[in-house]
Amino acid sequence: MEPFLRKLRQLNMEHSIFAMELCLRLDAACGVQQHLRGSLPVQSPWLGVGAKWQYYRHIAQVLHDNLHLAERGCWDYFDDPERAQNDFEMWKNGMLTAEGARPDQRVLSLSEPRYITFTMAFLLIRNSPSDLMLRRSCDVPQASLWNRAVFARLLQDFGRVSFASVYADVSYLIPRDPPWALTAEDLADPKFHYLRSLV
Amino acid sequence: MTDDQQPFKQGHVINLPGIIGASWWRESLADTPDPVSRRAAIRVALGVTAGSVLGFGALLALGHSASVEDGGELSVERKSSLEMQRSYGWSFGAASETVTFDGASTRPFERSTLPQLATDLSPRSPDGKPYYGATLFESLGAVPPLKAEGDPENITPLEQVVTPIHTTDMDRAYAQGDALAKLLNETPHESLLVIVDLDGPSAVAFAAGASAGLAAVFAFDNWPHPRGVVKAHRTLAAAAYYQPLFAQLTPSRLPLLMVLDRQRLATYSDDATQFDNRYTARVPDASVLASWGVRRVLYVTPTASDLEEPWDLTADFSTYAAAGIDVKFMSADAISPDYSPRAVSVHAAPRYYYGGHPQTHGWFWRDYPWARGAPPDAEDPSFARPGARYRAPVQAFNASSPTSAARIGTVPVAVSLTTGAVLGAMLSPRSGSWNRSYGSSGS
Repeated sequence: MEPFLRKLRQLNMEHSIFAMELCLRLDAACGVQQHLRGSLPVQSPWLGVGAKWQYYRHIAQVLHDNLHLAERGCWDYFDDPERAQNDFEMWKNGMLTAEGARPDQRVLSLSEPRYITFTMAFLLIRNSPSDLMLRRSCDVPQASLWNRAVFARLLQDFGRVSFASVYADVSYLIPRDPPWALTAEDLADPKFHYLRSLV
Repeated sequence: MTDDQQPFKQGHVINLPGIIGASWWRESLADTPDPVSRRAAIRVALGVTAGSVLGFGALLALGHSASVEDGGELSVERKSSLEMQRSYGWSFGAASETVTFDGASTRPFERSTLPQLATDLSPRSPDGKPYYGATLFESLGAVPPLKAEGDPENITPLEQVVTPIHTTDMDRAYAQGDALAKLLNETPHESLLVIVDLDGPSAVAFAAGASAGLAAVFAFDNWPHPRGVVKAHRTLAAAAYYQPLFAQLTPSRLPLLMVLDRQRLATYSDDATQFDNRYTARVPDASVLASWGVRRVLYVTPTASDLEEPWDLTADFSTYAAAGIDVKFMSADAISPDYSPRAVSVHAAPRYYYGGHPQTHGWFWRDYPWARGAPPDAEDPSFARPGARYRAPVQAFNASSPTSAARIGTVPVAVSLTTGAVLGAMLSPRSGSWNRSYGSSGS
């Protein structure tokens, strides 16, 4: 298929988006950071649907088990196809431009809290079974959006997503190397205001 | 066909100390036959079906966003900002945006002379020519040979955009430069190099004021950009203001004045909303100064609280010190206007002196004991001047250089994997995270 027509095809396939970002305090041993980093399949040019599911199920489990370290976060679900496409680009550009990463490293110190973020976003095939399941899961009252318990449930439910219903995904970890972990000062920058305090 | 035979293809990978991650997409889904026929799809794209109107602009947008989405077709690479601007235009990635000129001059201005700026401001002393950084001035007449696919708008030539500026800060810097040049001319002294490191427009004005006694060597190694973190367009506009003055200068053997823009290492934090047009300074090394017989360096900073040189000069100053070259700081505001009642009544505009008074002016030679023979009589001024006691580090030690120094002056660029062509800069209309800041969440 010609690239131009393939691009047109993409427009004709409607999508929804589910995205989540968590900002966790870096533990002394950097255990969570190392676990997440080791799981990222950056060396894999191709991943089967089954491997995808295993990867994200593992990630969801790690994040779920360490939610006590999460101080801030956000999640999105939108079933508007245009918004889904645009928002997915935003999340992806957040990786490509490395806009959330520190420009330099700083020695880790026990006296200074440091933070990591893990971000994942998915373009789901709209109205597919997995999309409908997530749509129900994300039907959360406004007052509860940023409850840690809501994040926990979404991470659990996310493990049930079939990647046959996923068109594209992006996931990234800040930082790769612990001395580049974010500081409280970094997180105070307005560009991180979309991360809400978890309650 | 099983799902695992329709795998996800990796699109983009980022693997830096500060961030690691990747994106994937299902190529097979994009290739799946769909209910819309090829002809119908083309009709929709061309906006000929009832109820569908897709204009040319929408088609361009479609092509761009689809290219970006089609992860298998592009990669993101960091490229030299200056190289991209030279190839694709000064406003690369932001062709529809421009720059503004606060403090625009009302003096008559001949725009047709702007392309000669690089010539008119070239060093009049042959020693200075190897250190002349005309990059900024050359941006005026540059014609980009290429056009980025994702940045299709025509770029207005910079020479049609630049307007001279003239501000009170520039007037003050001009007077300070004038006073320093006179001070150096009035008293025989050891050979020295003066380096002025002020915000671009003030640095240019200082050089203009000092032009009767010091031969300016401008070292501005960047181009302006609408989102440039270094406001180089203002430096350019100040240079345009003083262009007639510099154009009249004749070749000379005056002592050199290296002119730096202190904003060259401006704070930079966001690839998506800022354009990194920063650069590092280049000054003559110790062996060159020795060959000129220069054993003293006077480094002019904006204020007395600037007690350390920017990190890009640390290694140079260290090697100066190691070679026995004395480096001292002087704040530009050490040369200040004489507001005494008598001075104000005699002169329309206040005159500038070291320490702010005629009687303290000669004290410069006590703070900087480089006069040949006895320094002139003078009173000790009362202001703080710690720069006179500055001592450069004795080792070539550059610990203050940030680890991100290698990325200075680079921009993330989308490159077609198929053709290798540059598609455009990864500057977004709005930062992704910023865009998310005020968005709603939940269903």
